[in-house]
Amino acid sequence: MPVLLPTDILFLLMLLGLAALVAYTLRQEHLRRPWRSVIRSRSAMISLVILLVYLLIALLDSIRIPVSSNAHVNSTSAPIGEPVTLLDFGLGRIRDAQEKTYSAPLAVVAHAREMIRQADGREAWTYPRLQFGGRHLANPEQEHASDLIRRIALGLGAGIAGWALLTGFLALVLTRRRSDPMDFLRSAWRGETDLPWRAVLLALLLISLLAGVLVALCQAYHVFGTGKVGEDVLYQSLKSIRTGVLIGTLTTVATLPLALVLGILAGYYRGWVDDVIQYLYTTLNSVPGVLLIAAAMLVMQSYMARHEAEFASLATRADFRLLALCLILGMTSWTGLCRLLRAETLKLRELEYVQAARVLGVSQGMILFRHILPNLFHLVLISVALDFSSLVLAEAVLSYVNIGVDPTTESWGNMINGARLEMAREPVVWWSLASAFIFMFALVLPANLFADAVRDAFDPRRAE
Amino acid sequence: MTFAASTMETTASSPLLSVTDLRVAFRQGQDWVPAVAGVSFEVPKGGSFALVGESGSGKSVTALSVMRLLPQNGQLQGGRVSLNGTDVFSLAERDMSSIRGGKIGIVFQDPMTSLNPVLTIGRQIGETLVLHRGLKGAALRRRAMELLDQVGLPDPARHLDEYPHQLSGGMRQRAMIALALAGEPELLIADEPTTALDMTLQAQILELLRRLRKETGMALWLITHDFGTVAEVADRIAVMRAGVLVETSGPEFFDGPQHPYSRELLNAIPRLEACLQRESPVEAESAPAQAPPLLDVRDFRVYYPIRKGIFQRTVDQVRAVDGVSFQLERGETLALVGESGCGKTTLGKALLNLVPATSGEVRLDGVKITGQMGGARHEAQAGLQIVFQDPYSSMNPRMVVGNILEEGLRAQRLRTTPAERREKVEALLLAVGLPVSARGRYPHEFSGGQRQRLCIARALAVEPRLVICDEPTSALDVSVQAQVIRLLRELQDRHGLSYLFITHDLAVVSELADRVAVMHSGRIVETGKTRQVLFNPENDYTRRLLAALPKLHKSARTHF
Amino acid sequence: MIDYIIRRLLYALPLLLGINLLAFVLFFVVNTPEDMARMHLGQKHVTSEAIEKWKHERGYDQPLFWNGQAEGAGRATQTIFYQKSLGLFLFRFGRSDGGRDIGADIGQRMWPSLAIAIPSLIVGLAVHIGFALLLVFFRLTYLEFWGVALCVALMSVSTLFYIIGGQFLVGKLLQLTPISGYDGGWNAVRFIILPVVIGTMAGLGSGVRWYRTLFLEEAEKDYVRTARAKGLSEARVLFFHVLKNAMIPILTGVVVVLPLLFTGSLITESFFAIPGLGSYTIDAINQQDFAIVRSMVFLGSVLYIIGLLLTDISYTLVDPRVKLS
Repeated sequence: MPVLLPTDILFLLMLLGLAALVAYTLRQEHLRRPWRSVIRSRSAMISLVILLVYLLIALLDSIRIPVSSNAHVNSTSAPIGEPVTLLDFGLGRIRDAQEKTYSAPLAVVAHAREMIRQADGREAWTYPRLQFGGRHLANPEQEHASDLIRRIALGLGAGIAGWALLTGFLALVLTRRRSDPMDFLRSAWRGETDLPWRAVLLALLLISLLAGVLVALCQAYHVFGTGKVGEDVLYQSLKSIRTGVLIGTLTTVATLPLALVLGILAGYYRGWVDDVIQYLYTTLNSVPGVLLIAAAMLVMQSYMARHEAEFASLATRADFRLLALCLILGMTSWTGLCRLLRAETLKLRELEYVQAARVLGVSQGMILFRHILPNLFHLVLISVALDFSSLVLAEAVLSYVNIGVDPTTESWGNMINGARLEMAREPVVWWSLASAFIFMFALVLPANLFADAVRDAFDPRRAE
Repeated sequence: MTFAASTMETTASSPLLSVTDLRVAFRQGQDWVPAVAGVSFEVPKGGSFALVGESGSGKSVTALSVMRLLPQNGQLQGGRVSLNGTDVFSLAERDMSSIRGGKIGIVFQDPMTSLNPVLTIGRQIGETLVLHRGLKGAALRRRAMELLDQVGLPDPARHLDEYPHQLSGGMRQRAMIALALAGEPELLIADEPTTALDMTLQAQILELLRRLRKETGMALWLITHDFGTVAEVADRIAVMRAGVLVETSGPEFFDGPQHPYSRELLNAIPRLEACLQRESPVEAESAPAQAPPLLDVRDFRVYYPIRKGIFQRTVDQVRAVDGVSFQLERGETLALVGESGCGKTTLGKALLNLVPATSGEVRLDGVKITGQMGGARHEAQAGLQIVFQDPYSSMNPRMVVGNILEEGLRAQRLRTTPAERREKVEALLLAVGLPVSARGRYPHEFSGGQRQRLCIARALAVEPRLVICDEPTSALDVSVQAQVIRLLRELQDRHGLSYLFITHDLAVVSELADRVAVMHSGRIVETGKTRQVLFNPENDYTRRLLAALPKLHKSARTHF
Repeated sequence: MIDYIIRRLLYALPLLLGINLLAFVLFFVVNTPEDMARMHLGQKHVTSEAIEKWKHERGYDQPLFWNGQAEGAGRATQTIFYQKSLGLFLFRFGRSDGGRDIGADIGQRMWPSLAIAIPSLIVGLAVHIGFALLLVFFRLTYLEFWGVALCVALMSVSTLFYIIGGQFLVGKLLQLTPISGYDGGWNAVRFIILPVVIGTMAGLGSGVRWYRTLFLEEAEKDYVRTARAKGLSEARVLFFHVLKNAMIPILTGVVVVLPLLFTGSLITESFFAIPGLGSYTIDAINQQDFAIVRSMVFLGSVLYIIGLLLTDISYTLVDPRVKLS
């Protein structure tokens, strides 16, 4: 039986909700039209593929299974009894591959010299061999390069094979009962399909190749090196995906109902309802965001200190803090959407179709539900899409100020925070930062591009 | 002698502007959709030319292409424009600046959005004067003042230093014309210059354009959808439809256009005489005097508070509707006529409780509906429905037509089973002349006229006794307008409906109304039988409105 | 106009009261002085005497709202709410949990904050608007396409990377300026350059994109067509007509943040070791000094509300259409 943490449950629920929403939008003509223009855009489709890969990793990292006598999991990285996620399970090898301290990407020896007792009993001031990285090499000086090349070639081959399988599967699924899969692939290759399948397949190819190489290399090396206490940086970066995706999505989703209900009520009923709601969000909005988050996080920390018994395990404490961060971030960011929805509702309620409904005697609830709400949907969608990337970026900054996620939670913010002082070392330890940079950039850039496409398609002022 | 005569002839006949086979297309997604598909015409020096067409016919695009001011998604695809013998399309972009504003001035439809809101009128006119006339300092200011004076703006010195929003609509359009005149152009393009204005202002602006042409000797190219304005101003007329000219002709056009489309358009124009040929049902039947009128409005008032000061106390009130009383009999159509801002739309909405009324009493079929709240009010006014002006915003874009038409049935629990509702919806669609298959489609798939039919069907769904029509034809093209009016009349005959028809257009009134109430600054200034008000007005304001009506609407249709 | 300002000031009162209450509830009700004491003195092995002493030294040992034991007005005044929260309205910030005079600290530390924030704002504004105008001027060309693409890429990078990368490149590799630190007087200039440059770079992507949208929105309006129809050059249309209209939202957007410049930027100041209010706040957060955080929350809110008021007033100054009443 899976053992789930609160954020896991919320995340899974949210994904279910997302699936339901997709199913709903596909049945609504007015929503299908803008979506069609989104998926016709090449950059949006490539972005979507990358985002889905991230989402998949986050999903794998949110399903926890209790550990029994699993051979991969040793007690150094996870206390006994703590459940591990499917992702941990899959990454067991690099998860447990601990070194003593820093080592460069793909290295076989440590980053810093040490006194080492050699086989002949003499002590030497040299770079010690790593416990995991390149352990299988008997003679690293000669074999290292060729071993890397061999593994990269192997990885590329596996990547291509995996991609071919995936492409074939896709072609079969997409053309079922309609046409020949080969025809589909041919026209996709020539770029003649309605949707940009060529771009999608190329993106998939690139991702498969990368994944193939990473998998092949990480069997015997630390691909992105190791950190201060010898932890694998690639593993850290992959684990950080869940944190980033969670903060980017849960935060808006958690406070969406509030913004929606208050925004609509204020805009539709006006009068004192509007006054109260406006007062509420202006007050909250007046407090500078970071300060409000800082204050709330401080209070939350002291709450946790008081109820130490309830947060016995490290995992539940980190998880509670993550959830609290999402809610607090949400509390500071719902005001913008609320104001937007209020203004739009004010406009909508004066539109002639709403007035006609009132004249027909349609009840207020029905007017809100059938005439106002569906016409606000695009605003909600655009705002969720645009917020995602800024929230992922905000996590890093907040963690730097120590008001972000728990220091034990793997997150890009914590990685950067831990690595920034290492830039002053000689020689420079750059790989933690580089890894966090690459993984963040590869999430935020597609998210931005996709959000742009969504906005262009759904914003009535931009669409034709 | 012969030589001189021939040169005389060539100069006289060589046109100021000659457009040959102009083609323009707009990008829509991947495709190019033609907007102008081979248009040729000439504007003689000092002449006046009118390009007439319904919305979307490509007439404004033609003007913009001549000035090479097409929007970014538009593209010139061929043709030649020559101005005084210069090929406009072969000029460098740099050289266009002497043509734009210098040789050709242009006046756009909406003076509010066409003037830069953050620059004074003087500054905006001055910019042209500097560029094209090289004026500076005091001379520049003097000339700008002359121009404002020329377009009939009183107190030009003051208006020079004002911003566009400080002027009224009519004054703004005068300022816009002054701006176009500043470069002393040989050709003035007026693109729907009166469409955004009230009837009385329209007449003034047309008169102004005519006078300016006479005074300056420039040529005038008028672009409009309104034959009324054309007949007043133009020597030559071209009718445009779907990117091509169907007919070009002289003033004899109005005696009998050649092309069937022109004839159709001309026939569709509402005329004042229409009411003379109709017999009012109320008059004919002479309804029993005892029954209360269908709608009885007494001393109805709608005030908006003006709040001022620190505590936002109400210091004064805008009297949008200021003590209006009228009755409407069964089967009757009462037209409520007035210019924008007279309170007619507010009155209509307040009757339906869409806007809170300040005081007064309204009885529907003898039952008092004012003073009732919530559900009781809804029940009491269930027999009262409304059709709005804008066919684009009057239906929820997120709902299919079937659901839109069903909404009233559900709300008033009139037809309870889905089958019954479906049957009713289909009957309604047929009644307004639309196919049953419209049920499953979205509003955006219909044209403006079709949408207005759907709105009428929606109102009829709950079987009302009185429908308030708030400018239902104003946003429509002339030919569609006539169809909608015909439909309203048919429905009235079939269902015994009554209409309160709110409009600014006296000619439309004549086609439809039994009685007319003229509204001015929140009050009804004159009421009477349609023919009496239109042909024998007692009130000065009514007379002024009628005088402003273009002659075309007044001419009897003896030619057809 | 005066009426309007007075009305807005009156309207600000309930807002300030709300913020005051919010801060009070967060810091004293949800989170009691007892908790604060425990956090400071360590969770375990702490005697209740030590806690009481800690509370008494800082004046946290009084009732929250109502002191039943006191006499007369003291019932209301000898409370935490009166002494700790209401005093903020008069900018009496009191002493920090560490015993420092917060008011004096603020008065001293706002100057370095301003020294960084003002040049950052001005340089950033000029650079961002300049690039945005360039993109609009070259619209529908490859320059625009790649410019916008670059903007999206730039805004996908976390601020932290700009700072770390900038410090590494300019400060460490090229050794052009000091990596961090601050000095009084004219010496400060040396320390200001790097944060300002990095701040401008970090905001480049989103800034240029934002201003570009503003300009494009204006450029589609009817009066721009009129300006072109007058024969004006594209440059004149853009740099005079469009810019003048777009300056209204730009200016008012700037005015709202002006008062907040005093409080400085948390991230920049802490990375560059600027002794301003931003790093003051960060230190307070890290030391869990609730008194300072509470003061900064209130100060920030007051400044924001002043910013809102200034925005409304600035509208009347730059936009001829707006008349306040």
